[in-house]
Amino acid sequence: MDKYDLDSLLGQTQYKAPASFTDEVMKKIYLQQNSSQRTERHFSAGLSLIAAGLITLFINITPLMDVLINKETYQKKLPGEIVNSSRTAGTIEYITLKIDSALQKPFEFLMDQVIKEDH
Amino acid sequence: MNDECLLVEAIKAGSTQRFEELVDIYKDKVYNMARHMAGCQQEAQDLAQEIFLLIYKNIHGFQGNSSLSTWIHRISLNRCLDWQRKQHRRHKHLQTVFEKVDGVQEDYIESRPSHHPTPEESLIRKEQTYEVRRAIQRLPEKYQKVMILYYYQQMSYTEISDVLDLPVRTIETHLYRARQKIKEQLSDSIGKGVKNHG
Repeated sequence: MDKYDLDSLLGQTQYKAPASFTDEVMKKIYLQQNSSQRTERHFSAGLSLIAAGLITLFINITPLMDVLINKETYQKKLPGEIVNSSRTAGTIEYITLKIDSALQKPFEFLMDQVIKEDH
Repeated sequence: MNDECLLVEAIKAGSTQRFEELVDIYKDKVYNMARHMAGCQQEAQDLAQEIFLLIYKNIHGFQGNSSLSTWIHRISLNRCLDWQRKQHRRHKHLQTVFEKVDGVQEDYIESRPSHHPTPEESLIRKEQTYEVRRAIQRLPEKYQKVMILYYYQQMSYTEISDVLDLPVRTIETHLYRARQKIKEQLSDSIGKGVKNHG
Protein backbone atom coordinates (compact mmCIF):
# COMPACT_ATOMS: atom_id res chain seq x y z
CA MET A 1 0.00 0.00 0.00
CA ASP A 2 2.07 2.97 -1.18
CA LYS A 3 1.16 6.63 -1.64
CA TYR A 4 -0.27 6.03 -5.10
CA ASP A 5 -2.70 3.42 -3.88
CA LEU A 6 -4.02 5.83 -1.28
CA ASP A 7 -4.31 8.54 -3.91
CA SER A 8 -6.37 6.33 -6.14
CA LEU A 9 -8.52 4.94 -3.35
CA LEU A 10 -9.25 8.12 -1.44
CA GLY A 11 -8.66 11.01 -3.78
CA GLN A 12 -10.65 9.79 -6.73
CA THR A 13 -14.02 10.97 -5.52
CA GLN A 14 -15.17 14.50 -4.83
CA TYR A 15 -18.77 14.85 -3.73
CA LYS A 16 -21.12 17.63 -4.75
CA ALA A 17 -23.75 18.98 -2.36
CA PRO A 18 -27.34 18.18 -3.37
CA ALA A 19 -29.17 20.87 -5.35
CA SER A 20 -31.49 21.77 -2.48
CA PHE A 21 -28.67 22.04 0.05
CA THR A 22 -28.50 25.84 0.31
CA ASP A 23 -32.27 26.11 0.71
CA GLU A 24 -32.24 23.51 3.46
CA VAL A 25 -29.48 25.35 5.33
CA MET A 26 -31.27 28.69 5.00
CA LYS A 27 -34.52 27.17 6.26
CA LYS A 28 -32.70 26.01 9.38
CA ILE A 29 -31.10 29.44 9.82
CA TYR A 30 -34.50 31.21 9.64
CA LEU A 31 -36.02 28.62 11.97
CA GLN A 32 -33.24 29.12 14.48
CA GLN A 33 -33.55 32.91 14.30
CA ASN A 34 -37.29 32.76 14.94
CA SER A 35 -36.93 30.29 17.76
CA SER A 36 -34.23 32.34 19.52
CA GLN A 37 -36.36 35.51 19.22
CA ARG A 38 -39.34 33.61 20.64
CA THR A 39 -37.22 32.30 23.53
CA GLU A 40 -36.02 35.83 24.31
CA ARG A 41 -39.59 37.15 24.32
CA HIS A 42 -40.73 34.35 26.63
CA PHE A 43 -37.77 34.93 28.90
CA SER A 44 -38.50 38.63 29.33
CA ALA A 45 -42.22 37.96 29.80
CA GLY A 46 -41.37 35.37 32.47
CA LEU A 47 -39.04 37.79 34.23
CA SER A 48 -41.67 40.54 34.21
CA LEU A 49 -44.21 38.16 35.71
CA ILE A 50 -41.84 37.10 38.48
CA ALA A 51 -40.94 40.71 39.24
CA ALA A 52 -44.63 41.68 39.34
CA GLY A 53 -45.35 38.74 41.65
CA LEU A 54 -42.60 39.77 44.02
CA ILE A 55 -43.76 43.39 44.09
CA THR A 56 -47.30 42.22 44.90
CA LEU A 57 -45.92 39.98 47.61
CA PHE A 58 -44.01 42.83 49.25
CA ILE A 59 -46.98 45.18 49.02
CA ASN A 60 -49.09 42.59 50.78
CA ILE A 61 -46.42 41.91 53.36
CA THR A 62 -46.23 45.55 54.49
CA PRO A 63 -49.65 45.74 56.26
CA LEU A 64 -49.02 42.32 57.70
CA MET A 65 -45.73 43.55 59.12
CA ASP A 66 -47.52 46.57 60.61
CA VAL A 67 -49.88 44.26 62.39
CA LEU A 68 -47.01 42.14 63.67
CA ILE A 69 -45.06 45.19 64.83
CA ASN A 70 -48.06 46.55 66.69
CA LYS A 71 -48.73 43.19 68.28
CA GLU A 72 -45.08 42.78 69.30
CA THR A 73 -44.74 46.35 70.55
CA TYR A 74 -47.60 46.33 73.01
CA GLN A 75 -47.10 42.81 74.19
CA LYS A 76 -45.43 42.52 77.55
CA LYS A 77 -42.15 40.64 77.38
CA LEU A 78 -41.87 40.07 81.08
CA PRO A 79 -44.34 41.01 83.74
CA GLY A 80 -43.99 44.75 84.26
CA GLU A 81 -41.63 45.28 81.29
CA ILE A 82 -42.71 46.74 77.95
CA VAL A 83 -40.68 46.08 74.80
CA ASN A 84 -39.02 49.13 73.24
CA SER A 85 -41.41 49.76 70.33
CA SER A 86 -39.19 51.88 68.07
CA ARG A 87 -36.28 49.46 68.41
CA THR A 88 -38.37 46.41 67.48
CA ALA A 89 -39.95 48.20 64.54
CA GLY A 90 -36.54 49.32 63.35
CA THR A 91 -35.12 45.80 63.57
CA ILE A 92 -38.04 44.26 61.67
CA GLU A 93 -37.90 46.95 59.01
CA TYR A 94 -34.16 46.46 58.65
CA ILE A 95 -34.57 42.70 58.23
CA THR A 96 -37.39 43.16 55.72
CA LEU A 97 -35.37 45.59 53.65
CA LYS A 98 -32.40 43.22 53.66
CA ILE A 99 -34.55 40.32 52.45
CA ASP A 100 -36.21 42.55 49.88
CA SER A 101 -32.90 43.76 48.45
CA ALA A 102 -31.38 40.26 48.42
CA LEU A 103 -34.39 38.90 46.55
CA GLN A 104 -34.42 41.69 44.02
CA LYS A 105 -30.72 41.54 43.13
CA PRO A 106 -30.79 38.51 40.77
CA PHE A 107 -33.88 39.84 39.02
CA GLU A 108 -32.33 43.27 38.56
CA PHE A 109 -29.25 41.62 37.12
CA LEU A 110 -31.32 39.50 34.70
CA MET A 111 -33.38 42.48 33.63
CA ASP A 112 -30.18 44.44 32.94
CA GLN A 113 -28.94 41.60 30.78
CA VAL A 114 -32.20 41.51 28.81
CA ILE A 115 -32.16 45.29 28.32
CA LYS A 116 -28.52 45.15 27.19
CA GLU A 117 -29.34 42.38 24.67
CA ASP A 118 -32.31 44.35 23.35
CA HIS A 119 -30.02 47.32 22.68
CA MET B 1 -11.48 45.78 1.98
CA ASN B 2 -11.73 42.70 -0.27
CA ASP B 3 -14.89 40.78 -1.25
CA GLU B 4 -14.36 38.20 1.46
CA CYS B 5 -14.17 40.84 4.20
CA LEU B 6 -17.25 42.59 2.82
CA LEU B 7 -19.13 39.30 2.80
CA VAL B 8 -18.19 38.55 6.41
CA GLU B 9 -18.98 42.08 7.57
CA ALA B 10 -22.41 41.92 5.91
CA ILE B 11 -23.15 38.58 7.60
CA LYS B 12 -21.98 39.95 10.94
CA ALA B 13 -24.38 42.87 10.41
CA GLY B 14 -27.20 40.33 10.05
CA SER B 15 -27.56 39.82 6.29
CA THR B 16 -28.92 36.33 5.74
CA GLN B 17 -28.82 36.91 1.99
CA ARG B 18 -25.04 37.25 2.10
CA PHE B 19 -24.84 34.15 4.25
CA GLU B 20 -26.72 32.32 1.53
CA GLU B 21 -23.94 33.40 -0.84
CA LEU B 22 -21.36 31.99 1.55
CA VAL B 23 -23.22 28.67 1.69
CA ASP B 24 -23.29 28.56 -2.10
CA ILE B 25 -19.56 29.18 -2.31
CA TYR B 26 -18.47 26.62 0.27
CA LYS B 27 -21.22 24.00 0.19
CA ASP B 28 -19.36 21.54 -2.04
CA LYS B 29 -16.16 21.71 0.01
CA VAL B 30 -18.00 21.26 3.32
CA TYR B 31 -20.32 18.59 1.98
CA ASN B 32 -17.42 16.68 0.44
CA MET B 33 -15.68 16.44 3.81
CA ALA B 34 -18.89 15.49 5.60
CA ARG B 35 -19.69 12.89 2.97
CA HIS B 36 -16.27 11.26 3.21
CA MET B 37 -16.52 11.20 6.99
CA ALA B 38 -20.12 10.11 7.34
CA GLY B 39 -20.22 7.71 4.44
CA CYS B 40 -23.95 7.98 3.98
CA GLN B 41 -25.56 10.76 1.94
CA GLN B 42 -28.30 11.64 4.44
CA GLU B 43 -25.99 11.78 7.43
CA ALA B 44 -23.47 13.80 5.42
CA GLN B 45 -26.18 16.30 4.52
CA ASP B 46 -27.19 16.67 8.18
CA LEU B 47 -23.58 17.03 9.25
CA ALA B 48 -22.82 19.62 6.55
CA GLN B 49 -25.94 21.61 7.49
CA GLU B 50 -24.87 21.52 11.12
CA ILE B 51 -21.47 22.86 10.11
CA PHE B 52 -23.06 25.81 8.31
CA LEU B 53 -25.24 26.56 11.34
CA LEU B 54 -22.09 26.51 13.43
CA ILE B 55 -20.41 28.89 10.97
CA TYR B 56 -23.42 31.23 11.16
CA LYS B 57 -23.38 31.20 14.97
CA ASN B 58 -19.63 31.76 15.20
CA ILE B 59 -19.11 34.22 12.36
CA HIS B 60 -18.66 37.01 14.91
CA GLY B 61 -15.58 35.16 16.12
CA PHE B 62 -13.95 35.37 12.69
CA GLN B 63 -11.27 38.03 13.06
CA GLY B 64 -9.77 37.80 9.60
CA ASN B 65 -6.44 36.47 10.87
CA SER B 66 -6.71 33.67 8.32
CA SER B 67 -8.67 33.43 5.08
CA LEU B 68 -12.37 32.63 5.30
CA SER B 69 -11.78 29.35 3.50
CA THR B 70 -9.15 28.30 6.06
CA TRP B 71 -11.46 29.22 8.91
CA ILE B 72 -14.38 27.29 7.40
CA HIS B 73 -12.16 24.25 6.80
CA ARG B 74 -10.98 24.40 10.39
CA ILE B 75 -14.56 24.47 11.72
CA SER B 76 -15.63 21.70 9.34
CA LEU B 77 -12.72 19.48 10.26
CA ASN B 78 -13.26 19.86 14.00
CA ARG B 79 -17.00 19.30 13.70
CA CYS B 80 -16.48 16.20 11.53
CA LEU B 81 -14.04 14.75 14.05
CA ASP B 82 -16.49 15.50 16.88
CA TRP B 83 -19.18 13.73 14.92
CA GLN B 84 -16.90 10.75 14.40
CA ARG B 85 -16.06 10.57 18.11
CA LYS B 86 -19.76 10.63 18.98
CA GLN B 87 -20.44 7.88 16.45
CA HIS B 88 -17.74 5.73 18.01
CA ARG B 89 -19.15 6.28 21.46
CA ARG B 90 -22.84 5.97 20.69
CA HIS B 91 -23.33 3.41 18.02
CA LYS B 92 -20.16 1.50 17.28
CA HIS B 93 -21.70 0.70 13.94
CA LEU B 94 -19.19 2.17 11.55
CA GLN B 95 -19.31 -0.91 9.43
CA THR B 96 -22.96 -0.32 8.57
CA VAL B 97 -22.28 3.36 7.94
CA PHE B 98 -19.60 2.61 5.41
CA GLU B 99 -21.62 -0.12 3.81
CA LYS B 100 -24.08 2.59 2.86
CA VAL B 101 -21.35 4.21 0.73
CA ASP B 102 -21.75 1.47 -1.81
CA GLY B 103 -25.40 2.22 -2.34
CA VAL B 104 -25.53 5.87 -3.30
CA GLN B 105 -23.37 7.23 -6.09
CA GLU B 106 -25.42 10.09 -7.50
CA ASP B 107 -23.65 12.92 -5.69
CA TYR B 108 -20.22 12.39 -7.21
CA ILE B 109 -18.87 15.52 -8.79
CA GLU B 110 -15.74 13.98 -10.14
CA SER B 111 -14.48 10.46 -10.50
CA ARG B 112 -11.20 9.54 -12.08
CA PRO B 113 -11.11 5.83 -12.85
CA SER B 114 -8.32 5.04 -15.29
CA HIS B 115 -10.50 2.47 -17.06
CA HIS B 116 -13.94 0.95 -16.74
CA PRO B 117 -13.55 -1.57 -13.93
CA THR B 118 -15.08 -5.02 -14.05
CA PRO B 119 -17.61 -5.84 -11.29
CA GLU B 120 -14.94 -7.85 -9.53
CA GLU B 121 -12.43 -4.96 -9.65
CA SER B 122 -15.11 -2.61 -8.44
CA LEU B 123 -15.90 -4.80 -5.48
CA ILE B 124 -12.25 -5.12 -4.53
CA ARG B 125 -11.79 -1.34 -4.74
CA LYS B 126 -14.79 -0.76 -2.51
CA GLU B 127 -13.45 -3.18 0.04
CA GLN B 128 -10.04 -1.53 -0.09
CA THR B 129 -11.51 1.95 0.24
CA TYR B 130 -13.55 0.79 3.20
CA GLU B 131 -10.49 -0.71 4.87
CA VAL B 132 -8.42 2.42 4.25
CA ARG B 133 -11.12 4.64 5.72
CA ARG B 134 -11.36 2.40 8.77
CA ALA B 135 -7.58 2.59 9.09
CA ILE B 136 -7.69 6.41 8.92
CA GLN B 137 -10.27 6.46 11.68
CA ARG B 138 -7.99 4.43 13.89
CA LEU B 139 -5.13 6.92 13.46
CA PRO B 140 -4.29 9.47 16.17
CA GLU B 141 -6.28 12.65 15.57
CA LYS B 142 -3.30 14.76 14.44
CA TYR B 143 -2.64 12.30 11.61
CA GLN B 144 -6.33 11.95 10.78
CA LYS B 145 -6.63 15.70 10.25
CA VAL B 146 -3.77 15.74 7.76
CA MET B 147 -5.11 12.70 5.90
CA ILE B 148 -8.62 14.16 5.64
CA LEU B 149 -7.42 17.49 4.32
CA TYR B 150 -4.88 15.99 1.93
CA TYR B 151 -6.87 13.10 0.48
CA TYR B 152 -10.54 14.00 0.93
CA GLN B 153 -10.24 17.77 0.46
CA GLN B 154 -7.33 17.60 -1.99
CA MET B 155 -5.54 20.44 -0.24
CA SER B 156 -1.88 21.35 -0.72
CA TYR B 157 0.67 21.18 2.11
CA THR B 158 0.56 24.96 2.43
CA GLU B 159 -3.23 25.04 2.69
CA ILE B 160 -3.18 22.26 5.28
CA SER B 161 -0.51 24.11 7.18
CA ASP B 162 -2.78 27.19 7.29
CA VAL B 163 -5.82 25.23 8.46
CA LEU B 164 -3.96 23.32 11.16
CA ASP B 165 -1.63 26.19 12.01
CA LEU B 166 1.42 23.94 11.75
CA PRO B 167 4.64 24.29 9.73
CA VAL B 168 4.66 22.65 6.29
CA ARG B 169 7.50 20.40 7.42
CA THR B 170 5.33 19.04 10.25
CA ILE B 171 2.50 18.39 7.81
CA GLU B 172 4.87 16.38 5.61
CA THR B 173 6.06 14.41 8.60
CA HIS B 174 2.51 13.75 9.82
CA LEU B 175 1.46 12.63 6.37
CA TYR B 176 4.45 10.32 6.08
CA ARG B 177 3.81 8.79 9.51
CA ALA B 178 0.10 8.48 8.82
CA ARG B 179 0.84 6.56 5.60
CA GLN B 180 3.26 4.34 7.48
CA LYS B 181 0.68 3.57 10.12
CA ILE B 182 -1.97 2.83 7.52
CA LYS B 183 0.48 0.61 5.71
CA GLU B 184 1.08 -1.32 8.93
CA GLN B 185 -2.65 -1.64 9.58
CA LEU B 186 -3.46 -2.74 6.07
CA SER B 187 -0.49 -4.96 5.46
CA ASP B 188 -2.65 -8.01 6.11
CA SER B 189 -6.11 -7.25 4.79
CA ILE B 190 -5.51 -5.11 1.68
CA GLY B 191 -2.13 -6.66 0.94
CA LYS B 192 -3.79 -10.04 0.63
CA GLY B 193 -6.64 -8.58 -1.39
CA VAL B 194 -4.30 -6.94 -3.88
CA LYS B 195 -2.22 -10.11 -4.19
CA ASN B 196 -5.30 -12.22 -4.79
CA HIS B 197 -6.55 -9.76 -7.35
CA GLY B 198 -3.19 -9.60 -9.11
